[in-house]
Amino acid sequence: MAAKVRRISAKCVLYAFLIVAAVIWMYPFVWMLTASFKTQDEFWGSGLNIFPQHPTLENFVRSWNNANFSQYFLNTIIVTVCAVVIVLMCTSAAGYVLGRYAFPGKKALLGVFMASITIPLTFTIIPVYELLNGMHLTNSLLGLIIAECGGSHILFLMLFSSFYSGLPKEMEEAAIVDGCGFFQTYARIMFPLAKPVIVTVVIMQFIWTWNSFLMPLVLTLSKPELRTLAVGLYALQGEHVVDWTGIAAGATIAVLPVIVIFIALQKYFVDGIAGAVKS
Amino acid sequence: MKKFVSLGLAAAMAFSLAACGTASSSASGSGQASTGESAGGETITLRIMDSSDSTQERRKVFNQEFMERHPEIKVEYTMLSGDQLTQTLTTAIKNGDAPDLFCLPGGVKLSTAVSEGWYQPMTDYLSQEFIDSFSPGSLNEGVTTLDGEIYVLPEAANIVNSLVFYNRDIFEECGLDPDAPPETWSEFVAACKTITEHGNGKYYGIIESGSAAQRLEIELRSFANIAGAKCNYYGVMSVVDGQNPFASDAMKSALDIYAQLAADGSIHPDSINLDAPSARAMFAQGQAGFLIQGSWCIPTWRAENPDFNFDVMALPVPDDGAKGGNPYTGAQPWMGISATCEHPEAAALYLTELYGADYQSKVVSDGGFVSCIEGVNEEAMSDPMMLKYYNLAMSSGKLSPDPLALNPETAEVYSQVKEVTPNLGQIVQGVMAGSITDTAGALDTFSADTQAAWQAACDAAGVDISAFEFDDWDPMADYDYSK
Amino acid sequence: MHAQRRRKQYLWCWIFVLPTTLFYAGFQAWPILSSFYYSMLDWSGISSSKTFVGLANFAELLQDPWFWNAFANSFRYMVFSVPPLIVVSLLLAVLLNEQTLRGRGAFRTMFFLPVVTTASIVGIIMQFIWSPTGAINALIQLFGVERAVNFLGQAGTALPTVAFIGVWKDVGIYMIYWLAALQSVPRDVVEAAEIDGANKWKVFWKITVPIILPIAGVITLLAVINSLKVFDIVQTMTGGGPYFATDVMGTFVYRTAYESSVGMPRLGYASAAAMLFGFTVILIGVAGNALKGRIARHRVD
Repeated sequence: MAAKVRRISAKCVLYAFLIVAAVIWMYPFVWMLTASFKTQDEFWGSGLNIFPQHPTLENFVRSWNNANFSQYFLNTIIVTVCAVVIVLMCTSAAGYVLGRYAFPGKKALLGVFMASITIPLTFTIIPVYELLNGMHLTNSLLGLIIAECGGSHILFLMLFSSFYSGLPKEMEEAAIVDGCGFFQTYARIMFPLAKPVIVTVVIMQFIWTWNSFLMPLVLTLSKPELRTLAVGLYALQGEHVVDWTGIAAGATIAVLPVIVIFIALQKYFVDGIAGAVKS
Repeated sequence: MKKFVSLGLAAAMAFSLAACGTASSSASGSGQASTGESAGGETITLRIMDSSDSTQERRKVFNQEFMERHPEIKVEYTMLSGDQLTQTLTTAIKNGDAPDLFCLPGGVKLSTAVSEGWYQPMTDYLSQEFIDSFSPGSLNEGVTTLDGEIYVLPEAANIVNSLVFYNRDIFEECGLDPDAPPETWSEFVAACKTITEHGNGKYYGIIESGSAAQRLEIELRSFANIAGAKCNYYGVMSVVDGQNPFASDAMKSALDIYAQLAADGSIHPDSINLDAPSARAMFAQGQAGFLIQGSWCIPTWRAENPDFNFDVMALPVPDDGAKGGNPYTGAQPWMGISATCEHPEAAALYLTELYGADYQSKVVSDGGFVSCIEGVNEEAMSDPMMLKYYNLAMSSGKLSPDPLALNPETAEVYSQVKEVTPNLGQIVQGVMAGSITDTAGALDTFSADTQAAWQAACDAAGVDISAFEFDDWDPMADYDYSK
Repeated sequence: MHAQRRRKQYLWCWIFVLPTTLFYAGFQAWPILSSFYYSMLDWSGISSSKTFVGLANFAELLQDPWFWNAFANSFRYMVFSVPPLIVVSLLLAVLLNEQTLRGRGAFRTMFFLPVVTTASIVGIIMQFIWSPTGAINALIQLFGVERAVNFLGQAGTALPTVAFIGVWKDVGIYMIYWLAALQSVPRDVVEAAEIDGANKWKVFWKITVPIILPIAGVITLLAVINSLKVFDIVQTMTGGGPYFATDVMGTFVYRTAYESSVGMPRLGYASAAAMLFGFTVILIGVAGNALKGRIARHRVD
């Protein structure tokens, strides 16, 4: 009985802690959400208060028009979905072999990958543009997708490779006995196993591509109709004049798909997948 | 067909040029002309890029109307600011993808841009009447024009952009007379102190945009020049007796104002990390008595804080009187036609209408904008506060000598000179944050480093440093460019 | 036969890494090589006039106190941010991985929200929160602190404060990584241990930790490297100020490459700074690895 009471009270403490922490964590987001219903005056005047006095939808209208949401939304979806799929395919395949096989050149490859992530790259835009221009891919969605796939994915590689290296050796052997080739083993058995890592990669790559700004801007210079949401939203932020409530409203609309994706995918973090296979 | 279209455009242009100055009729007139000529013609796309955030809304409407008047032209306008503009533009230009019309990115001088082959001369596409519609001093050799060819036009007339806004309600609460704001440095510092003490954490003497080093440098140079430092406007190199003016007593006394304000606790504590728009917004919330910024604040406050009771005054002068004016330079280069633009006539037509009295008077009447077109300001500037700002700017501001306009060979020095860290704005920030206590020492070091950097740049460019020295410059008066 | 099979396997391996390698070559290696080339130029990034100066930029950097200031600040930021980031995100992940916890999906989402909150808005609201008249000061005044602290405006407190805000914003990301890692802990093993009477704490240390250790190494390494490369949150909150107190390598490189008050910015010099910093971090990493190896060997002996 005493143990039960202790367990219940421990649970209460845990919930109380989580709720307090969660409120602190999400407060700025909620503030942004409600700020998109405020006037500029109230945005600055209400401090930490989240409730708008005179809610207005004007900010949404303004940012919708300014950021060309209706036009840019589809571009953003196309680019993001393609980039996520391509990055997922590439990094999971590479992570698989890096995590499970020894092959000539592997060490060198890993060394170069790891070394390069230490350099703070801030001016990739010139060489990347030159590269895509050389391939005649600027001012096209394809070029933009390729550029978005080219970010630093060392993290994803490492996640996949350490995930796969943790799996028991017998798995391939069983697959080979079943008559699966190298590719089939990967595609049919190994890839679906990596669900938690896949979910991680999808969420992170989705966010990166969705919010990417400079690359889509520079790559669509001659074709504004190919731009993405993040580029459109930028128009609200000037050197002398900043439309804060417009930014809040725009950000609120733009971030919704990301949150939906997150909510939909986070449930795949169900533990024990690897263990279930093992037994 | 192409030829036919461009002929039509030329005709339309001539028409609109002829009508230029008679405001409203020009717009509709040119519209009819071009739609008539180019019926069924192919469309031309004009890609335009600049950083004119304050006039963005007007501009969109203008672009829409422009396209309605000229259905054969499609305008694609992009507003970008700061380094985003620089990065985007330079990448695009390097790869032959430049917009048809674009503004000169900050810090780049016209001669650099032209020698890089960014712009094409536009004189041939402009009518004499159009060129004459600019106020005197708007188009300057070395600034907008090289070897007699116009490459870029100024966006607006340059006026002083560091006057002092103050909150009249706070003045009254603190027992200060809102109709007699402080005139000298000590009065100003004392007023800031009074306001801070009265505010007791609710408001402070002054709010600064401390993360915008550029703004801080503009202010410091203004204070120093009024004290007689002959230090010229932001970004302009200037020497007195062969030496940069940054270690002068006037400069040191100007920096001491900030040290004093900081020591008194009169500077709003959030200032250090604010950019200019945030400082402006917080000032309008009644968080400070003073704010030093430009006329662009006025329309924003009118729109967003209609009840805000503010006023504007000149920058205070040293206690023993002014020894110079608030420095400013002539109109700055803005937009030109790309060297790769295939439809310079269409681009010129766009510029012609953009500088037409119709659009110019609209942006002037919105406030915060002073047109460089003759006669527009007098008619269109309607907001009394804007008028007050304008008059104060004209009376307290003094045109300083621009080495680029007076000695065009100095352009090469600008492209060679290396930035000294910390720069003036960052030094002011250090003083405000309390990180720099020896203000005179900081300026001495900065001045010595700057001298070395400028000398090296002059040597590399083969220009004598005296090209930046103007013995006939009286900082109390507008510099006479006609000499 | 065996050798042939092995060759076939090598071929497959290379086919599998090829797409990633190609992307890497085009969008990472090529820009890095370009940066390396830029680092040997006296070049503004704007004009086409470039002068090859060899290692002069590097020599100048070694003498540049502001480079070393940024260098030191980057490591200070790492020290302030990585331990809490790793600990808090792991704690959250373990708690929110608990099957019996109700509403864990909702909690996960809430902790993830800072990741997707727009940076410029975060900057403004954090200004409100950390201001001398803001919420944090009100809170510490309840605990008897009398003088208000200007957290972001003082040289002494600005960097830890920014690091704290960085942790707040990034915990959601690392929580995801940890959640992914925790999924490789076999459920049945945990259950078996619990039936044997092991408490949660013991299960965590004896079962979970050993299994996630390799991935934990990767996550920590990435946290370290990302903290050394921090840019966005510092630029938004302080821009490197007050007076360079929070100037990290990211802001130093950015400012040098794109900002100047008189004259032209220095892209070449900025590239050299990025390179030098990167090389130093690699060196430290290699040295750390060697040290680790030595200790491991020592232990075996």
